[in-house]
Amino acid sequence: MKILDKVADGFLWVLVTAIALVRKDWYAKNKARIEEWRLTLYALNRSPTGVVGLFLVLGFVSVGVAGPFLAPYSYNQFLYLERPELYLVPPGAHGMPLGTDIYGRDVLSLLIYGARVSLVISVITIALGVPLGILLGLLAGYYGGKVDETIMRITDIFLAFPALVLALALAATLPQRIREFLISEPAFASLMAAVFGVSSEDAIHLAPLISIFTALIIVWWPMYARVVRGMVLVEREKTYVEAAKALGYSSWRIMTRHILPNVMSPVVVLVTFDFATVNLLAAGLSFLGLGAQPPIVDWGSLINMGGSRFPTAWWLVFFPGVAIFLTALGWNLLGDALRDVFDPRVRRRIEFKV
Amino acid sequence: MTVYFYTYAGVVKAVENVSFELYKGEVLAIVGETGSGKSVTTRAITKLIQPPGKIVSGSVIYRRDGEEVDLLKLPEEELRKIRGAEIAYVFQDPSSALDPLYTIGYQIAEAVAAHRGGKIKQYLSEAVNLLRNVLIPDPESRVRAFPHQLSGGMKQRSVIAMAISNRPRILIADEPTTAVDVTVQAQILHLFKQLKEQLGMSIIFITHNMGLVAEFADRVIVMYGGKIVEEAPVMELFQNPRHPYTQGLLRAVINPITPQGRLEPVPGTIPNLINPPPGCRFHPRCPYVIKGKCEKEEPPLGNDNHKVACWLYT
Amino acid sequence: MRSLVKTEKLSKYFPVGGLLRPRGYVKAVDNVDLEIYEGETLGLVGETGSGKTTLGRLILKLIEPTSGRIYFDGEDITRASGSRLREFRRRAQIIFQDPYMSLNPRLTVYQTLLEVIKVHRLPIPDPEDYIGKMLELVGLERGQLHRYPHEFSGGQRQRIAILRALILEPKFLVLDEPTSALDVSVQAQILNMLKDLQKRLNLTYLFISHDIGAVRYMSDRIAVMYMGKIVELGPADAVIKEPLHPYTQALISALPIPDPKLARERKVILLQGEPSSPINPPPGCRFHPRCPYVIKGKCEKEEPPLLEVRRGHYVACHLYS
Repeated sequence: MKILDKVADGFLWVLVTAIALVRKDWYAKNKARIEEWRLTLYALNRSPTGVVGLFLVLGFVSVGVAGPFLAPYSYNQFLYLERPELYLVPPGAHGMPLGTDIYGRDVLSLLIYGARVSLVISVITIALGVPLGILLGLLAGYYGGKVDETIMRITDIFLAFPALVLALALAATLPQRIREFLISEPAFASLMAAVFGVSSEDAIHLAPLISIFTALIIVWWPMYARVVRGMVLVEREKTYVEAAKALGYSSWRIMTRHILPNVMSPVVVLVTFDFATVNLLAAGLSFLGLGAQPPIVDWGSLINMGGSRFPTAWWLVFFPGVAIFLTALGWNLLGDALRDVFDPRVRRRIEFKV
Repeated sequence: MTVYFYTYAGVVKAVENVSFELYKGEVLAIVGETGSGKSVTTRAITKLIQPPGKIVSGSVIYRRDGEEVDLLKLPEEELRKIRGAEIAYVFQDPSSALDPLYTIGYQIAEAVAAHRGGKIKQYLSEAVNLLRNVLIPDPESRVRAFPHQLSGGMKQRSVIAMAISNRPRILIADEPTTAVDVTVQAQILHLFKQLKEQLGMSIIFITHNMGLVAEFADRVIVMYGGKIVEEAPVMELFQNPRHPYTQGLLRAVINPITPQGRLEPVPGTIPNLINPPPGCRFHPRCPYVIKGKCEKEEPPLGNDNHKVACWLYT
Repeated sequence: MRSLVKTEKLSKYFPVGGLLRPRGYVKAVDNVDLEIYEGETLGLVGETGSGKTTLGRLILKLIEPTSGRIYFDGEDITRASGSRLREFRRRAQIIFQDPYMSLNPRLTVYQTLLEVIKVHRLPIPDPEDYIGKMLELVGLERGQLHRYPHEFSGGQRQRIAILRALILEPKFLVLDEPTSALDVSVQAQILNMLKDLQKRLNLTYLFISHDIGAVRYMSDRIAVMYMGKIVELGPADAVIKEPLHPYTQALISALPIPDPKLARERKVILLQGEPSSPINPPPGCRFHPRCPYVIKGKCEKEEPPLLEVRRGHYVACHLYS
């Protein structure tokens, strides 16, 4: 326990020193806030599952970010062409730690690339969908009345879209359009390729993936709109909001600078859980063949590949499955711990042995 | 009795070495402000302290069936039988004391059933009687009401009905009228007086309102910073307050009928209980502080009818 | 005496229930005529449901009135909006009851006070220094500038809230139960501070409270409200020592007196029951169901008007008309 606390202290010290280099008086002005962060980290340390979740998540993110640079083989190295014996070998054979797939690619490397794909999909979906939902929820909750009604009805309509059906429907026409767009805009295509960790020639194969996360974004924002609206309804009645009105502050200022920061905690927890959910959904869609198309690979498509060859080529199903499981577990554990940690009453109740 | 809270910021010495007695049939008022330890003390009587709080030491001797029992040493099962039956609580906010999902009749009957056993439904008629006892008009129909349908005064009365449902010997009321209007407060105080006569209860009455103390109490304990600073019968205390804090408190209280010139507040703020001032905890704010003594040694409470913990009197 | 705030038949009705149309209205404030003179403190007392809190907010236009007019410093501000409203807000401020929630918990004291300066573009060259000085003015330390509200006690938070209101240098301050949530000794400190500030800055106060002792200590005149209407209005001493309206009499007699001998000797007028339902209140005097002196045939039919019975002392009761 003490070690973790020391790690937390160290981390905070690094952060503070770094910022102090840029802005001199930041530390003095924010001493109280830093103490709150410290207490938050300590509280997180008190939850063993939370720490486990944190490490899993950090592992996932680091592999996702650094992976494609560190993987032993590239995802489009079809080793099979050079060494025919590497066709679909089980783990351990011929020096392939996790085996190879039907194109002779190293499964370990494929897992690493898959991490990048998963990471990118979840980050983009959340980064685009969540702020939209938050904004609409803010507006609906603060203004109430007709504004609220309209926004909520729209939200309801979007909430009714099942992700799967939407993805299927979009998969029929959208990938083709995206492919054409990628061909006509090579700069954009290269950007996408870099982001996903693939080489530029394969960029057009990203089209189905982009189609998936369009579908995901469309279905994702309504939930946030709802959650945020509910919280804004409560927060709006609090005295400091009335005080802000009495001081003549504009509605926009009250919404963004007063109400929003005070409702962010549950949103953060929700986002954490959603990383897990998006990953699972994306993997599921890939498994169904809607997502990554060869040569691009992600965990779901690996399972797809292995599914028809199960149980002979069990490693194609097992390892990606474990990866998906651990990632989702990590996010969920972290989310659980964060939910407790963000509750100021729980923070204060932590008993410290004297 | 000593109760500490082990928090991240440090050990909060909420209650330090507090000893007092409650006599049969009396109304004992405990007066104090935030941080005085009055609420913690009364909750500790039946071990109602949650972590990070801990009853560090002390005993609560309770006379039961002619013999004496230390409540702090009783097993939880035994203690549970006493809570709600022989020692009952009424807290400040009736809205949070009542479960919004059940009718008040059900909740009162539940309080009875918890101690007498059997099905809750059979005690509903007794609930009606109890509601009548606490002067709720039209109890037969009110018994089916939900808490949110009742006004603040009626909610508090329902809570009192729950508290007296098992004819407790001791009633502990923690700021029971702070959340209600003045006219309702008068009604509830009147109700307390009636119930005390009817049931022969002893009452511990916690408040920061000196007017209520004057109206209702027989004896008064004044607490400050986790310790008892003065203890006396009510007339004595008001006519002859000894401890400087009590004097300051009485001067800061507005008497609406006889106007005073300027209010004299007690200067300074309540002590930090993590690092309480050494010696007498009131010394930083005391106008009569004796240098060299008050900040070094803690004054003892004394032992006669009118007890004071102050070096001015020893 | 110049009138600073004036209301004319000011009303606020809240619609209640109903599927397509409201079932009824809660007449929280009903046809209230009130005048507050420059430099005075007008105390407003009443219990839950009296409408005193709503009236305070109506005057500041934090709630929109249903009907009636509000005048501030001679101007009709009933329909003010936009920049005229903001101008009004600079001159009329409010201190809330709950010191724990009236400050944004996520902003430090400095940020909270700085925001006022920024939004209203106050010409203050060195805000940090200025704010530091103001903190010292109310007995806080400059070093506490960058702390969060939860690190302060209730009394200190209330002082910060008062500072926040005073930065704008208003003329009129609504004090909505400013000390009810504080300890007794702290209450005295805050009340004294408010009194001093009033003298120094020539402020006008509307002091809303259910604590009649505090109201008497602070006010020059007192208005008593019951179920949305003013039932008595007069000089503070007169209203407390010789209350005319039966409700005021019961209210005064219910006050706990911090003197055990007096307390046990006097007789308390115990009112029966509770205020009746505020939705669609019955005709006639609102107090008649509980009044010990009700005149049958009159009180439940006609609403008594607010009449001047003694010099400067008004009552709305058929006993006096």
